[in-house]
Amino acid sequence: MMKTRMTFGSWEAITVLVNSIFVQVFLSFPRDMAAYGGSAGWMVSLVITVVVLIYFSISSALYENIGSLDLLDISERVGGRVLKIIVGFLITAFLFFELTAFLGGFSQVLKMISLDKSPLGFVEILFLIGIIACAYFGIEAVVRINAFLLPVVIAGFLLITAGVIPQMDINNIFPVMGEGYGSIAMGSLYKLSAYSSIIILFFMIPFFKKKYIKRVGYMSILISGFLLLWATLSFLLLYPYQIAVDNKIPVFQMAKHIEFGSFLQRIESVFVLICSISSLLYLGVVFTFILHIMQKALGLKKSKPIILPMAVISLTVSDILKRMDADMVNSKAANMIWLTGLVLPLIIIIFGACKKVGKKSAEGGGEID
Amino acid sequence: MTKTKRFTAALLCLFFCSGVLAGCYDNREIEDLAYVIAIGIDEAEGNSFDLTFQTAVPQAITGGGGEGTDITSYRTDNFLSGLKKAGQYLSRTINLSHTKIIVVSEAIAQKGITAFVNGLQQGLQIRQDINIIVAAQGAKKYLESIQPKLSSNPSRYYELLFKSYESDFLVPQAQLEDYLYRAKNQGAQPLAIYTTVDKNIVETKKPEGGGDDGKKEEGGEKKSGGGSGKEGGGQEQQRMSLDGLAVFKFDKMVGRLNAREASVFALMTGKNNINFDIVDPLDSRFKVLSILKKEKTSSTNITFKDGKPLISIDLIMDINVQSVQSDYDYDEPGNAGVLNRAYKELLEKEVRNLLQKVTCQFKSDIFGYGELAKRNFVTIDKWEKARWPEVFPEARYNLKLSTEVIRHGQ
Amino acid sequence: MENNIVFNVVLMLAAVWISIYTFSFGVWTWKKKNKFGAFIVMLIALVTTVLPFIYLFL
Repeated sequence: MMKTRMTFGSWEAITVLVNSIFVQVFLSFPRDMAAYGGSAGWMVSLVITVVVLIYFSISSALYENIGSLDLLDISERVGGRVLKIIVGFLITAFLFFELTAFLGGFSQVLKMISLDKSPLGFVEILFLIGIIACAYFGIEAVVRINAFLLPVVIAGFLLITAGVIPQMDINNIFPVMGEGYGSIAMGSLYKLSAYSSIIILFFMIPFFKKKYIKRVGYMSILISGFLLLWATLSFLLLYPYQIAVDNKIPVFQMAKHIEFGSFLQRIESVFVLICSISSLLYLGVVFTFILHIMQKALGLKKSKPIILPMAVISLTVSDILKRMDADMVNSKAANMIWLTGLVLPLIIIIFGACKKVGKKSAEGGGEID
Repeated sequence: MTKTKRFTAALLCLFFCSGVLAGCYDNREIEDLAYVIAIGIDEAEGNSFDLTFQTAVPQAITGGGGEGTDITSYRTDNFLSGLKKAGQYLSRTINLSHTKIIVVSEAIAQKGITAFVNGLQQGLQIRQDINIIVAAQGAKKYLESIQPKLSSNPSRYYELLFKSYESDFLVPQAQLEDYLYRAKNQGAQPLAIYTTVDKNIVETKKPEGGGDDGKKEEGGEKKSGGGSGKEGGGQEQQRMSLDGLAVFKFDKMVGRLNAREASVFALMTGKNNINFDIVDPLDSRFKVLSILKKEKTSSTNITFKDGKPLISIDLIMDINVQSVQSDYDYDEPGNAGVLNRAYKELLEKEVRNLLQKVTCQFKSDIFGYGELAKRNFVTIDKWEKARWPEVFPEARYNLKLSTEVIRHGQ
Repeated sequence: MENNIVFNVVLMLAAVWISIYTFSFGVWTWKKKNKFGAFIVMLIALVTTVLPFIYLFL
């Protein structure tokens, strides 16, 4: 039987990355911006987007000498199987903690706004069923579903932010420099972690054509940057920074403001829908890539047998972290850990580019189905 | 996997998801909930206070007869335990998602209400556009005086009540979200709606059992309750109505604006058209009622001179005459000019009086000029060091008012 | 309280079943000459039993 190579297009890759970055808007991203920058919180989101654009331009320039290899392939060519396994473990651990942190975060959000009588474990299991299904269907299916559903999510989000335009007050973004240059710079450093999911791009490269690397990267960063900026700006224009920092779920609170006459009220249900879809897609993608990386790093023939044990472990770790009251999403320590998603790939790419690993092998390395 | 098995698996998944994702675990029947429409807070002895809940009676609203609302008071020293008590008494779960107003007595308002409303707004149930009302006669008395005649739905009654006052002095700054923000920050000071007995409203109830019509109603008995026998007579009841705005400085009430002053305030700060009457300049026995609209080109600028704020207010008003009691035609250019001058004089006087009262007497920036003054500062730190609430009473005003009577056919 | 323990036992049994299944995959991988991969898979199988046990019963 002829084996087919799994591929997907640049648009699918872009939607996966955009969702991975944009999904944080549904947690507390706008509030964190207000906490760091005050009335100038929108500047923090702008600064981090610019920094990540520079980061990606360096990475993509270095990728000229690498071709269509992913980070594990580069590590193998640089340091042999040992380095491949070490890098595989590091990235798996990073993505795993991202998964457990956000699994807890999204479950709590959904519990607060919709399923408030349900036990938290029940909500987490709902998410878990979703991500297990994503893992069973495989990377290609998950990525294609992203391409299909993300425009719906973004449309819902833009509807909510557009609905509060009449209540925005330009005075809320004054004083113009907010908490000052120092706070904005510090906040930008911590919140670079918002783009930590860009590590997934470096594992998607073998699935689409090499010539699309720059297009996928730049488009993803620009689209998600615009969405993060607009989310923060609309939030700060609606709420003065003093009460913005107290808002639990910013976009949900914005949705509660929408009221046009007697018929268009209580639009919060739109938020519940788009938040659920986006978070499920994001967790599904991360989980699927964890399994893909593990399979590749360990040289396993199949990844399906480890889906269930990994799901059980992620659920348990998520609950243990909650018990310890460890804030793995918003705390400064967590933000520094998330920077691994940006720093580690860059180090590997630099080594790979120096050794010109891409010149040794043929193009492509996507999973064979 | 065969096609049949895949189809069956997909169908089972679909049924499972539909059942689970509909949130069946979280079902909440309407009969299990008590929807609180209004919350009242009155002072009681010691550290306690009286919490009054006006809850909707769904059966009555849907035409089942009886009172549309139920009013019950609970004495407590803690808001959350008051909610719990109410839930136990009503044997339902209290739901605040349809609460329209929070009424506080004047005594409570003078002591501060943030502690009460803080506890409320922590939950996500309560909406931020609830109006805050200060009742001169007490919160419970105000709620008991509410007897919607033309609407069986109490929630709708409040919505329409506030809508009817939009053209008078109802302003969004008297809502919960704005109150909480203004109570804790220096850019603007809070407001609430003020209500008191309105001696201009006298309601007459039909006499019970009186009248010798001799007509019997079909299938019914003619009631003869031994009435007073006074024909056409009845009982008079006093009603309360919204009568201006309560002014706060941070969390404590420092004074009030009457209905007229509140209308001027709404005119200066709001976006709605405001009803404004004036003594007819050509016949002082009568009045002229107009709708005043603030043009979008009106502006306010704040600069600082010698550390003191200089507030330049440029108000441009359009006057649409609605009703003239006298025989004079204010569509004629000459008469329109007279009316225009009269309105301009009156408005200037009233605006200056209001500014004087708010700045010098109350020393409370309810206009929110602090929010505009922030533009003069680069960072939050510098703005906070400016200490606007202390600097505001020294503000000087530069008022420029222009009016134009819009004539029909112009 | 008793219901809670019963529920925890049921969950633990599910975790043990998954663990056994994963262990068997580890054995299969070992037979395919991937010793290190097999070792890690068996470790995952062990953690799948130990971690839920710690969380549910300790």
